[in-house]
Amino acid sequence: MIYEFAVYDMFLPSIALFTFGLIYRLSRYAFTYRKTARPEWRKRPLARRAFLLIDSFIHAIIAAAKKSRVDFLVGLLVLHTLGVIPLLFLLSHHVAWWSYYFPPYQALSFLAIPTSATSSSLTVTAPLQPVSGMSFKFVNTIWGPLTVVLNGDVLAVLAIVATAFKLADRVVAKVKHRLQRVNWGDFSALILLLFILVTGYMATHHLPFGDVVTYKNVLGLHILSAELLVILLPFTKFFHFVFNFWFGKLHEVYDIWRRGL
Amino acid sequence: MSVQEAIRSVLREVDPVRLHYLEGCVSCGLCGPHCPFYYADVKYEPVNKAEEMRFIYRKEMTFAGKILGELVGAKLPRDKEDLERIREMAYRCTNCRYCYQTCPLGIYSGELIMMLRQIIDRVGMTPSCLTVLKDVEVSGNFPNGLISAWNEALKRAQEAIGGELPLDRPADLIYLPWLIEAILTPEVIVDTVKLLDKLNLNWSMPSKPLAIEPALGTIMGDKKARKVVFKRIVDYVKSHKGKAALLSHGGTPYMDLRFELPFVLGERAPFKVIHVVELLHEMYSEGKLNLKQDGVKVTWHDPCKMARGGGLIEEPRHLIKATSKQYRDLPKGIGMYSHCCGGGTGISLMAEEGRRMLRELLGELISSAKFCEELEKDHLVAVKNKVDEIEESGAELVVTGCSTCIHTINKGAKKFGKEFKAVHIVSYLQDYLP
Ligand code: SF4
Ligand code: SF4
Repeated sequence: MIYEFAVYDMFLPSIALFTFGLIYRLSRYAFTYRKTARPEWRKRPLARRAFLLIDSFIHAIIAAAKKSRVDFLVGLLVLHTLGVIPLLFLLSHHVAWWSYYFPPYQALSFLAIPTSATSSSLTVTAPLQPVSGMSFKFVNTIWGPLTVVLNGDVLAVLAIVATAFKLADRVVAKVKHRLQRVNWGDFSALILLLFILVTGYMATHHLPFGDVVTYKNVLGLHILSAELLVILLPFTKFFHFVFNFWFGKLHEVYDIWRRGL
Repeated sequence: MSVQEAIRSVLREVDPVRLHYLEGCVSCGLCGPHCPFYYADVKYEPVNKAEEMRFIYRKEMTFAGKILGELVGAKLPRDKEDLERIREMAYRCTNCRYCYQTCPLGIYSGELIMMLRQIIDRVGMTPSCLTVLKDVEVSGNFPNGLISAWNEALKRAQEAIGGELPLDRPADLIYLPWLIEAILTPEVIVDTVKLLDKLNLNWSMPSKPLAIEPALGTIMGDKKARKVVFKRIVDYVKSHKGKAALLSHGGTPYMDLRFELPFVLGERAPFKVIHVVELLHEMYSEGKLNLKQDGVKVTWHDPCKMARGGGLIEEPRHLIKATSKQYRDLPKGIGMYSHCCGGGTGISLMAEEGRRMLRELLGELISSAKFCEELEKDHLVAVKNKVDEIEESGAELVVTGCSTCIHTINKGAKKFGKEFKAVHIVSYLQDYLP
């Protein structure tokens, strides 16, 4: 029931709502734009500019590694780089999902990450050819023995631990340091992310019970909560992933080029 | 202006970049440890200060904020207590731009904090020590105490070159010292004049001060005041046919006149705005400036507005390295990652030493206030971190390009018993000219 609702009823509405939110958010940026006189740029060699373009995307990460080691490890490295990003885009199930709706995504199937360490041998020795209308060798990845650690189980556990840590960190910031910047939105976003990760992990392992009904319900919850995230994405902090990170960094590049750093 | 009017007038200036600053933060807290005031109290981390502006923005400019209110972090200041909290937050920032360079999403919390200063100013709650100075700057009628500091600096400069100063004449290069330099670091005016005279350039300077520290309206968020002062400066340089305005103060006046002026006046100035470091570096690169070398243990402190805000990172280092084999960088970060001295954007003027100096010059006009006394404690935490870093470098001399930094670092060195001294680069180079 939940599964059918998530897969057949909610998919298109969630995309439509996401698109509406995206247009709404972006139009706010367009409508506040004003043309003004601008200062003269400081002249700098092209090579310096090229360096700054790359540096702008990494210098905040380097600064975090130096001054906020725990946040760097948990937030940037484990949650983003090792957890959510590879899971979302490269977990073999997700590669199949993306490819179903957007066939060119198949091109990334050689990078697909298996769900667990035990399935890693398949990626090297016996790539599976699923029998279906969209059949292609999506588990034929390049990771080889690396899949002992680079697999859905390990990455999901890392992401779950990191998200739980972030939640606890927010509680400490709110309760101990009484920081006003921590709000309801922070908690709800992290709880939703945690729910998606946990239900995904449970579905993969057919938890809590091995019967088909439970499996489909848990998987349905996983898909439904992911769709909820997609709907909420333009209206929450998750939007950084789609827009704010890119806008912020590109504006920063423009700004430091202009000033001639 | 009522609180509501003040808020709406400030929010009318939201553009796509400010919108990103207001909406894009993920509350990761990574900007925190880079702020000079974070070490005074965690609540002064950039994001937590900027959140005051986000509360207001959400309530006024988002559907969710209007409907759900505090549930989604949307609220307006309700009473004096709220406004006082906002003012406290707004004046724990030197607008140093470090949080901007260290935010993974390129969010400049300092910009939102300046919006808070605008609101505070429009409801008439800017600390009185700043308002008095700004009003004097806007009027252009400087009291006798300030004028005598200016005249004294010019007299010393004239004696130093042993001839008439080229005052109010048309020239390619118009040197613009500010009153604040005459008060805090008169030797910088004297030494810049000596350099310009020695280098035989076509230059002149105003006989009367054009501003205290242009524009004081910038640091307290008074845009009209800023415009009046900028216009006066532009008119002066234009009427004296200047091709470039030369500044020795590398603080807010440099960054503002160099990069913000077109936004304020709606057009570019018909002349360049350059810091004396740029002039000297260009002459040195073209072989027109020779420098001697010795072994003094020296370092360069990057003024935030010159480095992160102005892009002048390599130039001063080239010049100083040419004079000393014992040059060393500061250990905790340079250029884009340099640590603020803790005195910029009006903070040092409100701190005890700054207020004392101004009180001596202005008499009863500048009164001490509880607000400034509390600020002093937090300011000193930031200053101590800076002077500790300089001490760690082992330098005997710290060279910089901003009068506020010189004043703040020397005050900190004295207060915390450090051996080194801060000087302006024009003063430092006097000993290295042939
Ligand atoms: S580093 Fe940037 S995104 Fe993170 S809390 Fe600070 S301003 Fe927000
Ligand atoms: S601009 Fe500097 S002082 Fe202001 S909040 Fe950012 S880091 Fe702190």
